[in-house]
Amino acid sequence: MRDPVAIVAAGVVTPIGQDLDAFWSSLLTGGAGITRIERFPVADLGVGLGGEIKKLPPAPRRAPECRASRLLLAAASELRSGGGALLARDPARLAVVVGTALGGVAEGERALAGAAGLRTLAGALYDSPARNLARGLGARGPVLTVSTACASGATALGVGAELVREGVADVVVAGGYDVLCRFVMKGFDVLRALTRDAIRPFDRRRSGTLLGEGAGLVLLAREQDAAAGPRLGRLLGHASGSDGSHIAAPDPNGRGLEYSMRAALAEAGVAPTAIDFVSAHGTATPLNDRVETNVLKRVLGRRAHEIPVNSIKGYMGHTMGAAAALEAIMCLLAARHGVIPPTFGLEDPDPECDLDYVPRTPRAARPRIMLSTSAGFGGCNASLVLEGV
Amino acid sequence: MKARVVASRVVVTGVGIVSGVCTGGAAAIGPVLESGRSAVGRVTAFPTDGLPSHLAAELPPGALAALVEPAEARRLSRVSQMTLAACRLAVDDANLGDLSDAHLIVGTEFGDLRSTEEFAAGYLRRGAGGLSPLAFPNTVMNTMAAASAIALGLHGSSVTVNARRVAGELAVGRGAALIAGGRATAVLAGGVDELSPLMFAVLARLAAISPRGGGEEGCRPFDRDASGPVRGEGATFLVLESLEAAAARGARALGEIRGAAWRSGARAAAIPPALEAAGLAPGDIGWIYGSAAGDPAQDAAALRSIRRVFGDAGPATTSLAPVAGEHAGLGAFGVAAATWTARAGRLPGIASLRRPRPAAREVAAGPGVHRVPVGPGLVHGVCRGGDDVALIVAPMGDAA
Repeated sequence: MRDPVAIVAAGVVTPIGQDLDAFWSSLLTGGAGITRIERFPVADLGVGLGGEIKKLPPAPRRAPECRASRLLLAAASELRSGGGALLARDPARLAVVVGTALGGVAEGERALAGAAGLRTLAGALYDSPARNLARGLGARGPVLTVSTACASGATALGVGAELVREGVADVVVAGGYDVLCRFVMKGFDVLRALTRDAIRPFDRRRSGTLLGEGAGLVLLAREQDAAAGPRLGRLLGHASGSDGSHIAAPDPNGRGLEYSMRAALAEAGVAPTAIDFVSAHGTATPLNDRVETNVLKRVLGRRAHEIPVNSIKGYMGHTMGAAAALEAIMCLLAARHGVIPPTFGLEDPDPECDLDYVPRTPRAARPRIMLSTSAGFGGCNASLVLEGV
Repeated sequence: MKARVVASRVVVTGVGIVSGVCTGGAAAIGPVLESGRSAVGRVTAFPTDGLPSHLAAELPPGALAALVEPAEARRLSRVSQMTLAACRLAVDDANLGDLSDAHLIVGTEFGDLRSTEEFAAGYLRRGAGGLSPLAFPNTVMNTMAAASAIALGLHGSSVTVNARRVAGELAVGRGAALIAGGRATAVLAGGVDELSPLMFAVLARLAAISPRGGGEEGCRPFDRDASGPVRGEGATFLVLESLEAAAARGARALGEIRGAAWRSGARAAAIPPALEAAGLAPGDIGWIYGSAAGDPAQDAAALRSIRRVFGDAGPATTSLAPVAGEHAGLGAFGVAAATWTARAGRLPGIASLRRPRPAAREVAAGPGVHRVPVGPGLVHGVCRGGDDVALIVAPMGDAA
């Protein structure tokens, strides 16, 4: 068991809300984030729907043009309420760790298509969005971009917590982002992973996922540094695990996912029986949801059917590198408000996915210890154990 | 500044190098560094006509054929093959049988840029019909780590870290932190990058590589005629283990990572906290593998960082950039080389150094192999204005 790390504040930019209040409200009322994509041509794509953010908040002066950077900076602006004092305390001890699946590929695509110059391409190749975020925050501590594909947001929170525990930084802004662009839409299109229907996690009729874009960030600090101020909760444990199975499909036995769940629980010093709520990866692909159900049953044991589990991908699509960070934030908001958002899109439960997936309506509950799971290309899996307040 | 609490000692038990200058395990290091060989030469894999730059340190043609299975060669992108090959060499070198609980940290600057470019070109130029479902997963930044974890049957975490210039050193530093903090007992950590025609052209046109400012093209760290870095390609990975785990399986330890630190920002200084974590003073450090690569401003920043700790006449400082070109694998290559230097007391000098800059005259190790103290040394990665990574490498049993 390791020292918990305080989660002091959070900020989000999503297709269903561009601050915590709007995000939370949409999770409870079923605000629809899936729309026809308007920002780039989709007529030649098999699927033209996605969780697109139609209008970004006004950019600060001298903000970079890059959309990924703007998403991160918009999410970061919300960290100041609640985390302002810690953010301002010592720039040299403020670190940034962000996760992404595809980084600056949207900018790279523009450059390769001749719509932007060499400098745009050079910027897209590197870890520019994280650097731009650090610049916007005035952070002069370590800046790191990590990737475990669609589990990147969880990995970033975990690595951020390690930096706090190791004393590399006093305060860490950690989270994830990814943007929608033709490149990524084409990629999922050729893999035939996108549905022409809605996202229906754990539903009998589920037929694939849809993509979304967004950013989610949290402010991490040592317990004693956060003691005086407000907080959202604590990160008790995290772990990653590899399937070692297939580059683009989950291991049918879910070995990496199970490894990550058990290791995260061990690090947190939490027994599976103590879990009150699970935020599942729940992409609504036929294989993922079945594998995840089986792994949850193995890890949670005899209480598996009693513990509420949700997936929020139906609201806004799979936001890739942002997804795990947004889902961790959802967990903390669920604890704060005493309500678990439903699994949007789940109407006809699959008998093979027979856990309590909180269909249709929000559930009054008081979750305190929560498990959030994520998975990505290459068999990357990550789990977070969170404590709400 | 708070020191890291070291729970476990971190030892290097295996090395895998796939580079322009050599391919192999720990045994390959000494001979190649003693030989003074360099892989820098005119690019042969793609045309550079019309570009101001023509030099790079390429992998020899066919270098990967003996290291990956034919089926893997068909399925995996070239940069993933490099990663897997270096990981495999390191695992064999360490004689590490069971990888099921091992972790993997891959540092990279550019990732699988060739696959990204090819996938984008597929739909930009040829339409949707030109796309292969196999190509897209290769465009995700973690594809090299994923491909290697799958091929090696590794079930611990596989994380990719993306950073300019210091990705290899940072990956090794993070791997050491995982072990020191008790989160892992075995970690494969290192770096990889490949030359791609697109990246080479962009860097050449932006004058980010040699020749800059009308100078002669070449990699000349600390030299008054330095005209920018020369790119290289390859992968170097290390097997890091806790001392307890290595001892329990009777593994050979090539050396120890006594301390590691990472700082960022304009006045970042990672060397003092790394020394503190190692329990060493500046005077205990006998030699340095630095990150100077021939970019005058970058090299000056690295030198300032070293002089702040060691003074004007610090330990002999070398760079492997002229040997294997700048790429994310080079930082890990430096750590591998440091384990050899720590044991052998031999430091390869900078073969291209002809006219040292005044500020570097006292410390830059010139051509030839230099005798240095057997004992601890420093591997130092710097990205000007960004990251500063310091790793203290010592021979086993060193009591300095």
